[in-house]
Amino acid sequence: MLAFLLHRILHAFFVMLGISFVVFILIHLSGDPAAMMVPEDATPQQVQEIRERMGFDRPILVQYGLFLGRALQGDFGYSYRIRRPALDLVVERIPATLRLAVTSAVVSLGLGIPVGILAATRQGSFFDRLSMMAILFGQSMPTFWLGIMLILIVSVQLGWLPTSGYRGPEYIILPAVTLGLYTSAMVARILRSSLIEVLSHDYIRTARSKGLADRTILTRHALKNAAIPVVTVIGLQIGYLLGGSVVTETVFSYPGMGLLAIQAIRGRDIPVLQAFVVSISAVIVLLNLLVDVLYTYLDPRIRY
Amino acid sequence: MNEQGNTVSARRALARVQSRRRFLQFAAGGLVGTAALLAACSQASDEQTPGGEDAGPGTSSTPTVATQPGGETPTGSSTRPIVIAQGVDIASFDPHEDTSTVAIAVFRNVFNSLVERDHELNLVPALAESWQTIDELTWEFQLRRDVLFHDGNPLTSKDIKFSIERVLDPSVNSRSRTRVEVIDRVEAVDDYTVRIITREPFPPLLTILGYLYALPADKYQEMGSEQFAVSPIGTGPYKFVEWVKDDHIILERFEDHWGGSPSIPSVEFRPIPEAATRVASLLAGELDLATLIPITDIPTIEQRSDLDIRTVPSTRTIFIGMNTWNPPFDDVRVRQALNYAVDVQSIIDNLLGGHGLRIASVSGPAEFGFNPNLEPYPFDPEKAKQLLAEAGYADGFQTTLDTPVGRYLQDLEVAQAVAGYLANVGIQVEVRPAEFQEYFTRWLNLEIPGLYLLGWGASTLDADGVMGGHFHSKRRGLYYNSPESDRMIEEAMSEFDPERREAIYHELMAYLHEQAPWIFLYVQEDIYGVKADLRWQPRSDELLNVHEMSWS
Repeated sequence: MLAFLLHRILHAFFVMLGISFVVFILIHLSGDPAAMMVPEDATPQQVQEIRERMGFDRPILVQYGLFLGRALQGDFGYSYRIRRPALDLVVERIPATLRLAVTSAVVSLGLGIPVGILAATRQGSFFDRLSMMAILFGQSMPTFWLGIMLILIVSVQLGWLPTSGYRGPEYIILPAVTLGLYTSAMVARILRSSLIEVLSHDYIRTARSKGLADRTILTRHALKNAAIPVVTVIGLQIGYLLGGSVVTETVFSYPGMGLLAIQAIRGRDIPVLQAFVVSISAVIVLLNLLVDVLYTYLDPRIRY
Repeated sequence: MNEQGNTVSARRALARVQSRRRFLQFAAGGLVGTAALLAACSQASDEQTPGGEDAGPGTSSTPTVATQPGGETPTGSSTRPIVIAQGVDIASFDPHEDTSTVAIAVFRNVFNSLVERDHELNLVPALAESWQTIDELTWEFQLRRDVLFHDGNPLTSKDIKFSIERVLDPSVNSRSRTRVEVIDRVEAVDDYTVRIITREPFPPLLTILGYLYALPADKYQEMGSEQFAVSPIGTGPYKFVEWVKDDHIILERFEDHWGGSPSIPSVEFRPIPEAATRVASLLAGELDLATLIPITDIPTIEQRSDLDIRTVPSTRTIFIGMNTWNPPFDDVRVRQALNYAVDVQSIIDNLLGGHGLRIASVSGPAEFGFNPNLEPYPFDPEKAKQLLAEAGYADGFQTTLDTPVGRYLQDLEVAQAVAGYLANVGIQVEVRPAEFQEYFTRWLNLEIPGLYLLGWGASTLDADGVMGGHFHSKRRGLYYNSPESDRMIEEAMSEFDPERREAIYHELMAYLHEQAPWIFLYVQEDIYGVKADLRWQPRSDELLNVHEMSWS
């Protein structure tokens, strides 16, 4: 187990290294950062002055080496736009984004698990077919469109909830539903098929034949075994809820990391963008590690 | 960037993730890509729009004696606050640190400059009540004696000297410095007299003074720049109350403002980046004023009796530039032919819903030096074909048209329409859309081979902005310049008499009209959605001066 963990941590380190490299190169290929730091009407001399001062005139691998050296010490540089340490800006936004991610996860599990169970236990019923359609719908709706539709219906037509911003608990409902609906559809679908498969196993028939109540069979025997693929999906989806909040946060002007990232992209704020992508990637890599460890608890047959 | 530009909206959700490994790869590239897509779809200039930033003063820049400050200030007081939504939040409340249009729109409520522009964009005295030139390099300003900062202390020449020299100090590394580098130093002659000394003769000095705000010298030093940037003190009609980043800014009426107390008691600015959400908030009654309304949402807002659409020609010119060093665009007949070939009015009517103003040369009517006597090239495909034939291109030719996407209203659609018109006269155009930053970098590096679509707003509202930025060999005439344009541009910049200066620009604009280095298109309109009972007309310079607003 320890060897496995060390191996995985080493692996994660190289993944992070790769991510940082790709991100760095992509950002620098997408336009001259110096030209973006001065007004459009700046003279070529002024642009050149910035380029030299910021070190953008050096070879890109040298720039990457310098970036990496500082990043390993947690220094992503200063935000061009706000002139504060880039990592601080990202870290400040974590609570807001986490709050949204957790609320969305509650929506997604609260909706996805019951629907998945009901659909699996009533396979082929009207409810099952209805829920499968709803799931298809939930998975194919773009977040952006769903968010706007919710705003137009719930806020504009009905006037029940505020459209955007964050000043209290009621502000989180629409973004959380927007973000959670997609994952809830995923959870329901995976749980349904996993449960259907488990319920067809011999040991379930045995349990049934020895007279156990359906409820007991479900909670004691079936659910735990059906949970493994669901845990994988949830692990992945938390990454989605964090990273995917870019779109949702923008639609709802919700002041989290995603909104910060969008502003960084628009304002060509490279340090903030790098700090954001690397932080999100780190979280996702970490979650993967956790999911792998969780497997061993859920399925004793899995040993590393 | 400003605002810019651009707006941003993502139509596609993040790609589905099938496997964890793929998600990791995706995390690196995908996030960036999606965000860029987001940024691309929003309508033009949501955020930083460097071209259109602020407006220095402009029309006439000779010394005059002060009349009343500030345009028409509404009278009467009200208890109803106003809520205004723009596309982005400000980056800092230190007014010299964020030069984007949205930030200036906020700052103008809290801070003042020596001279400012009134609603019609005329240069008017503000903190300075009069001024005169002592010699070619020295300007002397008399300050008003009744100006108080929000903390109750009076404004003196010491504050002006401090504020300007702080921006000029290279060690401060101010974002506003590149725009005012022509200023050498500031001298405080007595408490209410300051002299500004420029490095070289600079007739449009007043047009850049709008970039410089009066800050309280002692208080600023006492607070330090970081503290000041989150709890600013100015001399403007509204004083700072609260700023919650990315959520709201609240300002409150300053009763002791030198120009009189404004009508609306307080104002809240909210950043709402997504245009569709901004419109929804307006429809839901959460906002009193929203900027940058997409053309497609105009009918929805107009249907509502309690809401209004209000528009104004902006200071942003949209045009198709040509690389005049490369054939066939090195031939003036070809360049003119392109102007005859495109039905600009039809593009304005069909793609912009009529929200554009056709222009005949390189600047719009808001700018000093605009030549109102020029007529746009008529739409005449036959004439275009004839000119092409004379130039030896009777069978047309192939070229490219580079364009940003989502930077300006309907930019890609306009580029495609232009390509369509050019195809009608035999010119095969490949439209190459790109993300603005990447595109603009290529533009700066002279890497555009054929045609390009660009928007341009002279931040000073003075013709020198566009001239230096596009047509002077030693400044930034990247894609066109000539000895004639150089000569006239330099002549205008050494002429202190505004009438003679304007005459030079008229001649220069006529010359450029003839030379046709661009396909001259239009000036974009800014579109605002407002509560119908708000008394306010939008300004061409995109400022949101709350003291110019009142409730009816």
